[in-house]
Amino acid sequence: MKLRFKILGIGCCLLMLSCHSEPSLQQFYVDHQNKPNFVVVDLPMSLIFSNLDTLPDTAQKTIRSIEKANVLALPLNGDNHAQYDTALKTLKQILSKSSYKLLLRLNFSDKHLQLRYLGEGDAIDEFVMFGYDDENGFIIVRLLGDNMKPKALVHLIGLMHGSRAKIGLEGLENMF
Amino acid sequence: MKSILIIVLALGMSWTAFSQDYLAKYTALEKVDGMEVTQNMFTLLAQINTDVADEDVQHFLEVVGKLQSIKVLSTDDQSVAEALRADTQVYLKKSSLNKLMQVKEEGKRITFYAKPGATAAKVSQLMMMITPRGSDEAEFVLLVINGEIDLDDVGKLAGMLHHIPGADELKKVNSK
Repeated sequence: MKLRFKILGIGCCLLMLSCHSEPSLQQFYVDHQNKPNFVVVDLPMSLIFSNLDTLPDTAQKTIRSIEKANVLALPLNGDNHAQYDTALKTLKQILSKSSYKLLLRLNFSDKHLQLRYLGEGDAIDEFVMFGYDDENGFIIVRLLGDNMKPKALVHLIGLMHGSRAKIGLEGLENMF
Repeated sequence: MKSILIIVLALGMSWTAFSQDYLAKYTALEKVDGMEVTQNMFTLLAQINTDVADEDVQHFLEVVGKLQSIKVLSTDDQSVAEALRADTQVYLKKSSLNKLMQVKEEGKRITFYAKPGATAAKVSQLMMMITPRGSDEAEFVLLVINGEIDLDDVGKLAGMLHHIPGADELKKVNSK
């Protein structure tokens, strides 16, 4: 009898929690973009796609499903560790929601990287690269698009290697 | 009704005793480095359909397409290593993994465990444990691969994981 009530009680709590509107990554960007120390960059795809004609036509079409790239970073500058800690905690909570599907997690000494995506495997709505370390700060790169296919990301990586358009990813690369 | 509920709960709990959930508390530790590649990643990789001309890449994608997850944990903290090793031994006893082979080398002992798969050359789970011998500073490494693993192909995974300490040791596994 008691067990049944306990289970019902837990079930109700879970239901209530899921009905609660949860913070999203987009909301986090909006809330923090004008705060001091935060770096927010909207990368124009035209810059990244500057040498798109090096790819075959089908690849060009696939890669165009990626529409926007934005970067949010909080570099550590010696004074803002508390700010970093709070923001990091919030970010980790947002990303650990089951809707942000984990692809890869890397932890080496104090450097951390997560790759996640939102959407379905063949129709990705959002692709997130989240890196942080306690010396440099954190950086999030979000790719937003229209039913992005995984292949689009592969092409993008190929393009970036070729064109050196590594803006925004430099911070991330410095972490490794 | 109540007895059915209890049976279901009991079954649920006994499943988790055999699962790899025991690793979660270690991956959260600062002193433990690691990598996790999830099922989501392998599903995504499988969808990058191969207009890839390169046969090696194609074969690699085939091998990788049948995997479910890869987890690597490593630490040079002796007490964490000892606890992880002990918990792993408990897990090995409870699940149906058999010791496949053991290699002793300068400074380390590498042991492979596997759970039988659909055929003699296939396993559904592969575990590799590298225990340092003699040196206090050396890394303890635990690697777990779930999925449909062809032992002859395991060496190819070593290339994919080349940043991970001990990944090279995978090349020593074969089905003979």
